[in-house]
Amino acid sequence: MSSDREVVERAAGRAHELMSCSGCAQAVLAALQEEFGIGDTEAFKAASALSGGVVCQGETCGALIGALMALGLAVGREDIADTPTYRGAMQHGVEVCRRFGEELQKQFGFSQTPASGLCPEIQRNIYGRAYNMADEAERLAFLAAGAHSDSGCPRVCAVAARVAAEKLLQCMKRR
Amino acid sequence: MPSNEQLIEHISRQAHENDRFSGCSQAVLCSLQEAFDIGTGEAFKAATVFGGGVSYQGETCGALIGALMALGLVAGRQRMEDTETYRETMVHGADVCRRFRKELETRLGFSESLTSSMCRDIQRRIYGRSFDMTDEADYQAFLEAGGHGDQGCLRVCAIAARVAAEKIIELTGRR
Repeated sequence: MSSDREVVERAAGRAHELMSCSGCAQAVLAALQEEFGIGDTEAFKAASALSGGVVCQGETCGALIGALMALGLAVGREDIADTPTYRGAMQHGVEVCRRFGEELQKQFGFSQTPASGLCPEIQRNIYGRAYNMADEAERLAFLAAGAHSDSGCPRVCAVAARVAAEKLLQCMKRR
Repeated sequence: MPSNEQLIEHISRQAHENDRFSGCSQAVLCSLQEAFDIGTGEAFKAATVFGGGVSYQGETCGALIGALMALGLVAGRQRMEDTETYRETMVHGADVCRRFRKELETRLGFSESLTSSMCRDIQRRIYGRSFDMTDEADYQAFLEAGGHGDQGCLRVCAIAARVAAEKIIELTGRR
């Protein structure tokens, strides 16, 4: 049986690798689904249009969204009327968001924690500027800046998967 | 069989009612899943922690995320390697985001265009200020301002569900 550390490293490595196909939300979610055997193909499909800061809108980081979808699969509510489970899961979600910022700072060596989980904020920290991904010329400039290279967004995916994997392990031990 | 217009009205009303339980993403996704018979309970669970602009972060509107997850269920990719389907879904997703902002402006009577789909920006327009939903006192202030009232976020859910329903009908060619 794998140690917790091996589980976390494997999920992070797989998310990094899957990002070569584009789509940060699905890259992270798929890595966590594989590692923890959670969810199904429908849950994976549902993450199709959330990458690049929610459909390239420059909003919440898709890698974080994929991580939070995996959290939902592990501890989420199955019935809309189950408010206690919803509130419990939300507390875990808040923690994953906070940990994501801290871990980005640590792994990338940022001078401070990113002010938010927004895609442009993370881009500015990594690439020195943000790109409008809905614009084709800007998207190409984003790629030229190393966005899909090992030190770009695949690394962000690895961080998101790592943080979520740690949280999932913690939640499973409480059961 | 109801007409498309009747179906859209029903979905929109259902999303509005579902949000009384809290959790805008699941409120919207659930109404679309039931009406179009799409996805699974796992896809629904995956949407648990996006309320309040992604786990109370005030970022991307959870109702919009629920709408985009429904779009993913209808048009999304099932395999990471299927980049073509991914790109097509992203184009539809961008359209849903644009229409969502437009419908919010029209139906909620905003005097100026919305420049983002962020929870805190939408809150400012509806309630005159934004709320830090991670802070218990501010969360209470959000509720007192009508956050879960018929004129508050419930209406945002209704609009997100409406926009997604229209897009799904366009994509599936339902008559």
